[in-house]
Amino acid sequence: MVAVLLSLPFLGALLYVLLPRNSTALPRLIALGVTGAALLLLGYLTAQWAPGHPLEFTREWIPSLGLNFSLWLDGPALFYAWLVLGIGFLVFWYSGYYMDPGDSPWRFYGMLVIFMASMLGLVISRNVLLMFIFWELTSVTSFILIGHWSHKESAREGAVRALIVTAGGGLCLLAGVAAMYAILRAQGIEGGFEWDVLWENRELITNHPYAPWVLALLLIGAFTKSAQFPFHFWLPGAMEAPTPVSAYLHAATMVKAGIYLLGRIYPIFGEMTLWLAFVATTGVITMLIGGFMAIVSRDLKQLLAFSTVSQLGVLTAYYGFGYARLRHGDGPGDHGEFMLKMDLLLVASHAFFKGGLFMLIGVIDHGTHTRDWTRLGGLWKTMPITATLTILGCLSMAGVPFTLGYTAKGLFIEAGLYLKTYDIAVWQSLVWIAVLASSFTVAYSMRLAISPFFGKPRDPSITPHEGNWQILIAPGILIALCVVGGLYLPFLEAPIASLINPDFFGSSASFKATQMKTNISLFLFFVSGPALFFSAVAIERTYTRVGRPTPWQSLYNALFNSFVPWIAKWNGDIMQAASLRRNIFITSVVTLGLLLAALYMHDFHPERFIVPEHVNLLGGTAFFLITASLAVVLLARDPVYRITAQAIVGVLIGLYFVIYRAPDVANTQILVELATLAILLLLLPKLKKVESCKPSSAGDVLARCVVSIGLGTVIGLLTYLAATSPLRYEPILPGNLIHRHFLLANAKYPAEPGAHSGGGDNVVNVTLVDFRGIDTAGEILVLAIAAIGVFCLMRVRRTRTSIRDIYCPEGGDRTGRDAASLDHSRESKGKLRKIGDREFPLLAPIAFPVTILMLAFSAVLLFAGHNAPGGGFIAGLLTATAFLPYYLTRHKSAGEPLGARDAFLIMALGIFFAFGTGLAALFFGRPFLSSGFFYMDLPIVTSFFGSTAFASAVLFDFGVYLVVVGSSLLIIRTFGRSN
Amino acid sequence: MALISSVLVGLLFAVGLYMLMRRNLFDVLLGTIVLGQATLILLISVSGWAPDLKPPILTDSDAVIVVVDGEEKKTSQVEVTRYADPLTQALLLTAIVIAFGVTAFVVALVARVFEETKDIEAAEDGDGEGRK
Repeated sequence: MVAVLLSLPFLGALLYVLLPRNSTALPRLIALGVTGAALLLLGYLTAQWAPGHPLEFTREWIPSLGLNFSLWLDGPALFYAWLVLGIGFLVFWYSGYYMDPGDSPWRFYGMLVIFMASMLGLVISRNVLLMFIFWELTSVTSFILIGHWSHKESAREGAVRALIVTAGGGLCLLAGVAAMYAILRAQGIEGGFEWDVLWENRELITNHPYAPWVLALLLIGAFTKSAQFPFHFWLPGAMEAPTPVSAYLHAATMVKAGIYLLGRIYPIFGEMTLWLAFVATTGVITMLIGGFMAIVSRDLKQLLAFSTVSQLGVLTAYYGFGYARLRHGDGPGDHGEFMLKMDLLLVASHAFFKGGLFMLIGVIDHGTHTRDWTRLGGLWKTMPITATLTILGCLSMAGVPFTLGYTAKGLFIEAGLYLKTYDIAVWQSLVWIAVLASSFTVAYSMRLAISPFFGKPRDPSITPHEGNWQILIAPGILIALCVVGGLYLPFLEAPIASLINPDFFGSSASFKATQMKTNISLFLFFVSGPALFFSAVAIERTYTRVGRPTPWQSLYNALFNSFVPWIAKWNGDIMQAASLRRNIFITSVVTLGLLLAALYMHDFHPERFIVPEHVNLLGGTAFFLITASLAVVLLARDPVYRITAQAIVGVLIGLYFVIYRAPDVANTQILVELATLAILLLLLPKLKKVESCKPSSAGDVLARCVVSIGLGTVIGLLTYLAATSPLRYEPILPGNLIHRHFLLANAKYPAEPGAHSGGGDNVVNVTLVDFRGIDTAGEILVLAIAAIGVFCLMRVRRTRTSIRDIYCPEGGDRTGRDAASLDHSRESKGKLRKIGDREFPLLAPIAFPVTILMLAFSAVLLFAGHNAPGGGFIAGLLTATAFLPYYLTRHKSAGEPLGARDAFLIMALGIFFAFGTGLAALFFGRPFLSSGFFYMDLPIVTSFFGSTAFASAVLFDFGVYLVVVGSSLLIIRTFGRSN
Repeated sequence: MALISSVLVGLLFAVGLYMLMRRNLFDVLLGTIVLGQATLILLISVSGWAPDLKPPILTDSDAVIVVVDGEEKKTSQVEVTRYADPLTQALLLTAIVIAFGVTAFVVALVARVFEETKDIEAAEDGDGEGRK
């Protein structure tokens, strides 16, 4: 059921694909419907839920990487799921009355639904890698949603900035998560991506010497997402998004992801002093900066954005202070649970009033067409409901008694004071700074509650009107929750308290409201006084600061407008220069450096690898011949010599395969070399007209020599080490040798009775079509794609060619292009015809018989393949190369036996056969591509090669054959005719 | 064989890489082919060589008859060390065929570059605009 809960919104997002893009009402209805359904399901799941027994769903995804598709609904997950879906529903409702119906609702709601699904996935993932995937998905959807009004430059800028910061932080998070996994794995604990495994083994992680770095990486992930100093600057820029997006993503849910992460890693790292130092300090600094910026903001939405920054700082600092609870708690872990529980109350409180306030600002924006509070005033009379709700929200934000915010603020201060009792002076000072920062909160809450609504209207051109009841109901519900939760605490506290698993942290701690109240007076004393003072000062300051960016903003603007483009340019120039030679040079240098470093660091003993050298006579001869031919390839000037020498190298490598006892490989290699030679020869007429290039400078040549000789030497050395590795003789076999045993033992008969076997003598062929059939299936697709690529490349001319021209070049109507090229070809026809038939005069008379012979032999190879050397690859290549003599000797006006269409058809048939036999296995309840076989005596083939195994693998091999024939034919034919 | 194979691999790699970094696109084309060939030798050398190696094609002597539940069944009893590694060879086969496709693609690219630009030099930074 947990999986259904997650798939509901994702399936809902799929529905948008079916919708017409210009539909106006449906997108919102689908969003509401999907969210409503998910909420109902969540309600049902909550009814079944019991503390300590999370609902789970687990499927293996990539077990070798530790990546499981495992979801769970433990307490915090359940809480956040309610938050995401519940506020999501209200936001969709609200958007219907906020957004202009013509403002691409398809994209807006579709993206919001995807975001909601990702956010839901993030909070209910049990596997941290899975959580990371959803984490990045929320970054991407947030990017698109911030840039929803993409015609505005500021929106695009804000979107890019948010993406760079949050996605970059996400990468740090991934590194941290991987490090935790690696640490656990090194200690022999598997499953180190699951939250509960991480918690159970938290001491292994925190005692590891790299723990501070791991913590830093994870925290960067959390801080970027939750806009903590020094990464806070993206959040105000994100306010360019439509207001529902700001309310949902950038106040209520997405920015809470970092807080959520803090809550998840708090049980692991919370006892480290570094946790206190990093988290509490960052939170308090962020509180200060956000609070101050909010006071001097003129745009009400900016004010809320900075207040969000500051309150995320509160949540962060709260976790930082939690260090003391874990470290000095009365019972073991007792207070850790308390922290977590109350954190959810803080998060809920903030999500409610901040989400509501954002929506209300949207209503004010609609009613007055401005968000600049210096132009607003006296709205109390014209917008009474909005005013009431906003003021109530501000009361909660400021932490006035009898609101939820009061409880939250009290909890926060109390957590800080707990720290004071136990820890050294430096950290105690943090608490007082936090109290100071809280006074900022009071100040900007007063600004928001008073400036727009009281006094006289400042700008007579503004004619405010109240929003309708539909738009007000969404913020109304959220604000009401704050008030009710504040008046009657157990209303929210009780359900949240029941969420925490009592088993994990030991005994269940009761909510210590009495203890809290003693501190509230302190809080009020320290907060209210300065608050009034700061408010007065700030109001004055703001008037003077209107329109001028703050120093922080200037710094970040400078950073983003110069540094990021500079990095991009540097990266582009160095890493992706528009020069093939330079790219290859740099890649080689880096590779060489890495290899040398690896060799240097890997304390290996070369003497262990030296074995007596048996030189096969044939091998030695091949060696010298290859070296000599290679010299010709490198040094000769005439392309004909070079091509020929190249082919000789290839054929000699075929000989090499013979020495290494690889008959199939040798056959294939020689055939491919001949086909390559033919293609290069067909290219030759074009090359003959080419002038030589300008010579490179001596320095260039030297640099290239050094790098290529260096890399060649290292790779040669590595080859030697691998070829003579003592590992092969050790009792515990490395993976590939085990594989070798398996393949050889099971190729014909099962090594153990009843096991699967391939039913063939030719182990290589059995491997290709049976044991590693999926590799082969993928590979023939690659070959087909390469062939189609060749075909298209040679067909498409820069003069505009229609698709029709590409696919039926012979027929069809004559366009202007044809007429023009006709003139051209007429001009050159005389010359071509002269060369045409005589290009390879010796070959012409025997071309036809050779073709027939090759075709016949390829048929034999195809059927023999399972038991003797042969098989689909070789047979296919041979069939295709059988047509080579034809293309080499005939002029293109002479017509051709097989056209491009035929080649395409053969390829398609082959793919059908190969994948068809693979899928057929599924009908018999076996895995994809598993084979069955029986033996059969074919009249002619049997007399040469014995019984043919009619394994289904042979059908697969036939598919391979057809694809290779089709692709090679298409390639050969394309070059043959383009000449 | 390990020594001379490794020397050959190094040689082919060095030559292929050097040609890949030349200006002439025809050299680049030959370079890709040489690099492909170097990889082939690398793979086969790593699979190991012995003077008495046999090709991985089974013979009748590899099967034995065992009796399971009163029924005679054939199972394998392959003396693995005698045979060359079939996995390497299977991978080599696919590598060769893929390399063929890649080579054909590079040939097509070079041919088309030549047709379009009447030139065979690899473009450098800033060259792009001048050559239409």
